[in-house]
Formats: sequence, structure tokens, C-alpha cells
Amino acid sequence: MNKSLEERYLNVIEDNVNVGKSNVGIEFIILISGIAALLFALYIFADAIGNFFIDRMSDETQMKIENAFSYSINPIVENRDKDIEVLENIRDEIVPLDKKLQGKSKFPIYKIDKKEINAFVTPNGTIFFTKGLLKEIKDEEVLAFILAHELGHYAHRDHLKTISRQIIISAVISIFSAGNNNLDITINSISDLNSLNYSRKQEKEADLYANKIVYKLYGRNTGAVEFFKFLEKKDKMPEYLQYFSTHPSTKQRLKLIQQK
Amino acid sequence: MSDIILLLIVLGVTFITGSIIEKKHFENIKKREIALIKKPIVNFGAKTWHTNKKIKKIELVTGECVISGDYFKNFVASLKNFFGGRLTTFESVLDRGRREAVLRMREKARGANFIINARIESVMINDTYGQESVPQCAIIAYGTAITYE
Repeated sequence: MNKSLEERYLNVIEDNVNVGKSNVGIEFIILISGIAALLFALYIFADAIGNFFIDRMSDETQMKIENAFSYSINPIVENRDKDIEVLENIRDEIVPLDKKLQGKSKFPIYKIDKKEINAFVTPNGTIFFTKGLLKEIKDEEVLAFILAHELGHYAHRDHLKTISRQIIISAVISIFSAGNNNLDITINSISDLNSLNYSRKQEKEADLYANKIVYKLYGRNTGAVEFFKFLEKKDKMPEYLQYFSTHPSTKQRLKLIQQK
Repeated sequence: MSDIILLLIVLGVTFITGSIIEKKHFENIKKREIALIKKPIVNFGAKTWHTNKKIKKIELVTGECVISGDYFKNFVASLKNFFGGRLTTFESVLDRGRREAVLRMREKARGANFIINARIESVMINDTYGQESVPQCAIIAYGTAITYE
């Protein structure tokens, strides 16, 4: 065979034109960040729309929606307890302080048989405290802060905002990722992170609200500071993990209420 | 949350293993291509072919290869499917498959002088739309090997 021809063949073998020269890893990162940017824009859009309508919604409409939800919540809990009575007294002090809380739900308080330290409010204004929390915390100021935090969620209509955002987003996402399984997984993972971000924002606002209420009631927020210091001792979660959590890190929450 | 971490781990592992396997495969293909650079000569054209020399043997030679991308490649390709454009992750897979198939055909025709009327075909083996479909491609190279006396 001809020498130059052989050289050309060797060149063809070495320099392959059929394979893209771009780095696959970089391409992957560009793709993911593109999808993340799109989703982020979608979240801002959905959040703006949801907040716009829900903030302007009348109280009657709110009550109607809440009553629709209340059917699905059947707590198996025990009522009538000394702890509950203390909480109910605090509640009766807090509710007259804010117009947003008046004339709506009666905010019944229940106790759940769970060991973890937690409290939450359902969309119809029912507030739950876990046994673990009531066992660990006896101080009235701290309980007032926790209760005010949960009432803050209710006053800000956080549940309705979350639901409306989820409805808009899941509708758009299901159109985008129709039939494409891998795209679906990616979008859902990213949007999980996004919704956690919004959840942390809501928690911060509820903290600030509770802080304000506690100041009005007692003229100081030492109870809340004590509470977060107590939580800080309890959980050993590293700071960076807060991006995967529904709540901001305890350190940040402490900082937030100490500023005011 | 554990879903994302698991997904990232799987993607990372398959990216590394896939790159290693692909690199080794390309090295292997190059070595074999250089070894076979002189014989047999492959002719992809001519439907009719004439020679004055005496022919000892005529036979059908085939080379087959079924190839699939790794999890990472499939994942990136299906993301890219949304925006469109070249699926670069699959380009290398197809290239590897084609070269492997042609190489196998030529290796089968060792000792022959020519392979005439060589053709390359590609097919999907499994059900593309089924639940358990594996993204893969089967490539078949075939031709007529001719050995002179």
C-alpha cells in the first residue's frame, strides 16, 4: 500500500470526526443549570401569582377553603390537660393582638402522642403540640413564642400559598416532562430544593411575627432566645445541611430574632 | 431529599465507570484498526466487481455488535431531548458500535484479499416503547470476502 495513504488512514483512526469534542460532564452541568434557571423563574412566577390572589382574598373565601380541608383531618388525640389549658390561656391573649386572627378559626389546641419536639398548624387553624415538646418545655414565654409562630403561619395564610404554588407548578411541570422519565426526576429534585427555599422563607416570617407578638405580650424575647439555644444544643445538624431542610438552621433563627 | 443524593451518586459513579470503559474500548479499537490497516481491503461501493485473477474462495463475512450507553449518557440524552440539539453522549456510543462491527467483519475475513459490497446496518433489538426497554443499538456489518488463489 501507498505510504501516504497509510498515513492518512492512521490519521483518520487517531482523529475521529464522528465523536463530539465537547466534554460530557460540562454539558451535563450546563443542562442542569439551564433547567434549574427555568424552574427558578417558574417558581418566582407561581409564587407571585399565588401571593397576589391569596393576600387579596376575603376572609369568607378563606373560611370556605379551610372548611373544605377540615374534613380530611381527624386527629386521634387527647384533649383536656393542664398543659393545654396553659396554652389556651396564652392563645386567648395572643388572638386579640392581631386583626388577622380574629373572627376566623377558634384555634383549638390538641396534644399528639409523639416523642419528637414539634408543633404545627393545619389549614383550618387547629394547632397541634407533641407530647415531647410539652414535656421538655414548661416556660410560658417559650410556649407563647411557639404558639405565636404557628399562629403566624395562619395569619400569613402560608398553607394556602404553599398549596396554590404547588398546584401551578405541578401543572406546568407535568406538561413539560410528559413521558420523559429522567426529565421528570431532575425537575422534581430541583423543585424540591426550590420549595424548601420558600418553606424556609415562610418559617423566617413566622419567627419574626412570633417575635413581635412576644414583645407585645412580655416586652422582651428572652424566652424565644432561650428556646433556640435549647434547640441548638439538641440538634447537631451541620450548618450547610439547612439547604436540604424545611426550616432555617437554629443559628440563623436565633440571629434573626436577636436583631429585632 | 435522599432521592437527589442517590441520583447524584448513581450519575457520578456511572459517569466515571462509563468514561473508563469508553476510553479502554477506543484504545482497543484503535489498536486493532492499526493492526488491520493493510488487509483485507474493504470496498463499500461496487455492485459488480471484475477481476482477472483466479479466485480461491468467496464467502459471506459479518460483524455484529450490540452497544448501549451507560446510565449517565442516557440521562443526559433524555434531558437534552427537551431542548434539542446533537446528542453528543450517544455519538461516541454509535461510533464505537460501528467501528467494532466493521472490525469484527474484517477480523472474520482474515487472510482474504478483499471484502466487496460491504454494508452497515443498524437496528433496535428490543421494544422501543415497552416498559423495560433498554436504550441500545445493534450494528451489523456484512460483505463478501474474496480470496485469490
